[in-house]
This record gives sequence, C-alpha cells and structure tokens, in this order.
Amino acid sequence: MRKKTKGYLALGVLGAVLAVLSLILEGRISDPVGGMLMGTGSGLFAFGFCQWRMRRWEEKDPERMHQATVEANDERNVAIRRRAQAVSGEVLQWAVMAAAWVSIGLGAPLWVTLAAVGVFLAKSILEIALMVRYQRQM
Amino acid sequence: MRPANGGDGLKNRLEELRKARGIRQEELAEALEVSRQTIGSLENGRYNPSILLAFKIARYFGMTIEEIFLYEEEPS
Repeated sequence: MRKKTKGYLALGVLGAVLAVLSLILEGRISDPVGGMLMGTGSGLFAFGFCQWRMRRWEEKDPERMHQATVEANDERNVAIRRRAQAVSGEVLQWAVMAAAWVSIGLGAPLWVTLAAVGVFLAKSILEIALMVRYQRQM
Repeated sequence: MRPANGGDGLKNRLEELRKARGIRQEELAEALEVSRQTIGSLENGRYNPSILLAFKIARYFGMTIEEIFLYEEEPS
C-alpha cells in the first residue's frame, strides 16, 4: 500500500517536472513539443497528486474512507449519477444541434456548422452502438 | 413525484421492521453497505431497491422479500 502511495507521489512529481520543463524550455523547443510536455505534465501531476492524496487519506482515516467508498458504490447514488449523466448528455446533444442552427443564422464558417452536426451524429451513433451492445449483454 | 426508478405500486415495511427492532437508519445502512439516504428514500417510497438489495434487506431481517415488499397492482 505504502509503495503504491509513493508511486503516485512520484508520478505527480514527474508531472510537475515535465510541466516546469516546458516553461523553462519555451522558445528553445517547438510549440507542439512544449504543448505535449505541458499537457502530459499537467495530466500526470493532477492524476498522481489526487491519487496520492486519496491514499494518504485512506491510510490516516480508514473509517471515513470506507464510508466514502460505500457512498460512491451505493446503488441509489449510482442510479442518480447515471441518470444525471444521461440527461445532461441528451441536453448537450440537442444544444449542439441548436448551435449548428444558430451558426447558420449567424453566417459562421461552414466548418463550425459541420463540426456541430458531426458531434450530434457521433453521439447518436455511439448511443445506438451502445444500445446494441447492452441488448446483447442483458 | 413518481419514484426515480419507476415501479409505482411497490410498498415496503422497512420503517416498521426497523423501528420494531430498535435499529437506527445509520445502523441499517452500515449493515447493508448503502448510504443512510438510501434507507430514508426506501422507507418513504421514493426509491425502489434492486433485486440484490431487496435480498440483502430480506436476509438482514430474516424474512422473505414478499414479507417486506408489497406489490399492489394498480387498477387499469
């Protein structure tokens, strides 16, 4: 357990080093490489540091951690979370479609409209694919 | 408002059984590994449990599911 905790801390530190490195080397390395360093570094830092904090919390207060796990896995909470995710996804999908119509009205470049329609279609296709998959599973 | 997971017509004796045994919602929640809010929602009929949780509840009280959960078909 402690080994894993230290591993996450190391990951966070590595992320911070990469992010700082991208700032130090600005101008000396190409923008895409700098962007990659910053993106990877920030991601690793956030993931590593959060996981490290969680493990530390778990070690210090196992009772509270157990309660948090129960809350997270509680079937009603899971149902609420899934329902909220489904509804927000649906709302967002139609908002994207509305944005496509608005972009036409505002005379936005064609790629904006096509991108919005693309997102709408991609979500619809993914939804159907997942429905087929779940129908086979259930 | 209809229960979040549908299933109108399902009633339960959870509150009655819990109180008869002098158990607090927190204790029941801990034994069943669910949140206290879930117990509250079950008791006031806002939430219907999964079949697994229904079995857990039945085993906890040493009863059958039918003795705890009562389904009353609504007249069509």
